[in-house]
Amino acid sequence: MTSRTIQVDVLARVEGEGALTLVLDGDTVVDAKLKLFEPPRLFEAMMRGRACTEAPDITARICGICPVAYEMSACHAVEDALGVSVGGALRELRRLLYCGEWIESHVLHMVMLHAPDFLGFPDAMALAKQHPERVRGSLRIKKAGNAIVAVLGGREIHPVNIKVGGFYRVPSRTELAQLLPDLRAALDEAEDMLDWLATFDIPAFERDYELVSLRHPTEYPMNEGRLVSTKGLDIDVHEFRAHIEEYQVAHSTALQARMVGRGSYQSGPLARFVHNADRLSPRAAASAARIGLDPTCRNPYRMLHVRGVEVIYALGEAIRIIESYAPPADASVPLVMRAGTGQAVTCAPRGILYHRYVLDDAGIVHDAQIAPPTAQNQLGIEEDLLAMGPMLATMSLEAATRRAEHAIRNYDPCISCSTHFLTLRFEQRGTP
Amino acid sequence: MTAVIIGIGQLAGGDDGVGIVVARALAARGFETRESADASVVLSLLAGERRVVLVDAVVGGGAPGSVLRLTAEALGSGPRPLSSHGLGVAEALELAATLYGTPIGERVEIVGVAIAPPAGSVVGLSPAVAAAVEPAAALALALAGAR
Repeated sequence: MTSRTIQVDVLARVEGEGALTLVLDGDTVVDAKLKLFEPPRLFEAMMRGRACTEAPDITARICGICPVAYEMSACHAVEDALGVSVGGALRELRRLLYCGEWIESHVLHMVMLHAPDFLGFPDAMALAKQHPERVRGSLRIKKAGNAIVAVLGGREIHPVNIKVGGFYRVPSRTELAQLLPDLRAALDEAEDMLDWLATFDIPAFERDYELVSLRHPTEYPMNEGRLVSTKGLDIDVHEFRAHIEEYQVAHSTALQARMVGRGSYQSGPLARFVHNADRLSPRAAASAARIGLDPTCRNPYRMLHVRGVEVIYALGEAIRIIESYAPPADASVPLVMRAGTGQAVTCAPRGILYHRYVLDDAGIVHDAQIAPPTAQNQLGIEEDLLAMGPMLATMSLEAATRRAEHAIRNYDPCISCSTHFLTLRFEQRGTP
Repeated sequence: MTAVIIGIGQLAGGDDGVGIVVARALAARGFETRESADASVVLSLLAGERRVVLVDAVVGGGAPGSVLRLTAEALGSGPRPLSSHGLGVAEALELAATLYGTPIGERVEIVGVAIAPPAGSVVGLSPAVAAAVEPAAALALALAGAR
């Protein structure tokens, strides 16, 4: 029996700093550790003592790729604590903002970070040399998404126009309408891009995942819904902590998460699609059907295709929202501070993002919990690698290493988002 | 048309923020500037027809505070960007040339301000680098409008 170790000291084409160690004994992976060594970020501790109205702006800084997700989960969780509901045009604008983030985050990952794996290129630069028009096209689609975030958020990265209760300023009809030509062009281009992605060789691999996602009564979910899974979970998001627990592991600065009593689960584009394919727009649903993607899919490599379908959905949804937009009378709903606990789950590009805040009667945060998608997906990624043992054993060390990295990138891991780990028990002891 | 002046850097990185400080000084005087924590802004501008002047901190460029005029070739090809966050200046220029056929030599000027290797998170410039803001701004303006 030969024993081999696959060691990747620094994972490339992921966001943040992580490493991978896989130990193979024959065709069995006996150890798989995704080591996230990005320094701890301490955002949960940072939130303590801050006004709850600061939560969106502070937590947006967790990620430059998906700041909108942090802003949306923070806003909804604080509004839950304050008993505030945001509806009408403001709700639609939030959905539009999320469309912008899905588009830019997904396209960046699909073409610049993940496509090189499928096509055998070392990086996006090499891909660009061989497929310049594909890369140019993807950058045009991404730009259309960035433009939504810039108009609604004030700037593309770490938007500054989002507040608990709504926005500081809402756009005019004209400002939004100016986005339409590029969005319409991007929608056509995104369909073409998906057809290109569908030509890639997809490794044969499936697992019996517990796929966890939001599900909304009428919409493809972004900001609201019940939390459902393929193993029977169907809960209100307020029950999150009764079913999902976070815990520390020695090899990672990120907390891992598991379903109480069951273990790992997967939360990401595939889970979202599996639970909500019937909520897609006709055009996005037709695209999925065209490439043979349906809710029975359990192959994580096909998350590439699901992202492509979600980009088509988000572009169409953005166009719909803009075309029917009538500016609201007020840019935000009024807030009255009160003591309470608020929780929310929204759909970050990489999966479900949970926020929980405990507020005093002045609206000061006493406790915060943030469970980012990559931390939740980490255990499942390690289990994917364990299950790939027989496949990896047949490959050269170099090919097996590439395949393992490729598998990690299925999840578009955002490592710096997930490493907010802190010793909670220690912190609680330190509280007078 | 005058070139766009782009300050690149991170204000929380001490002297690494000098490019941003230069851009803000010029913006306050009414010049067209952009700011970026990495070079992705460069890529989108070079997709069009604009000329750009980049102002960035450089390590290994002499005594801190030295102001240098650099060429794209001088940037060399360092390690590829490891994260989806970071697009380096050299990579952005290479990508622009690959994707858009941008003639980098004609469209891009680079002003470097020498700094010591950043030691960690600190806001504000050291005295030597702060003294270089005006000379760097003057060179950026000359390169932006002189051709």
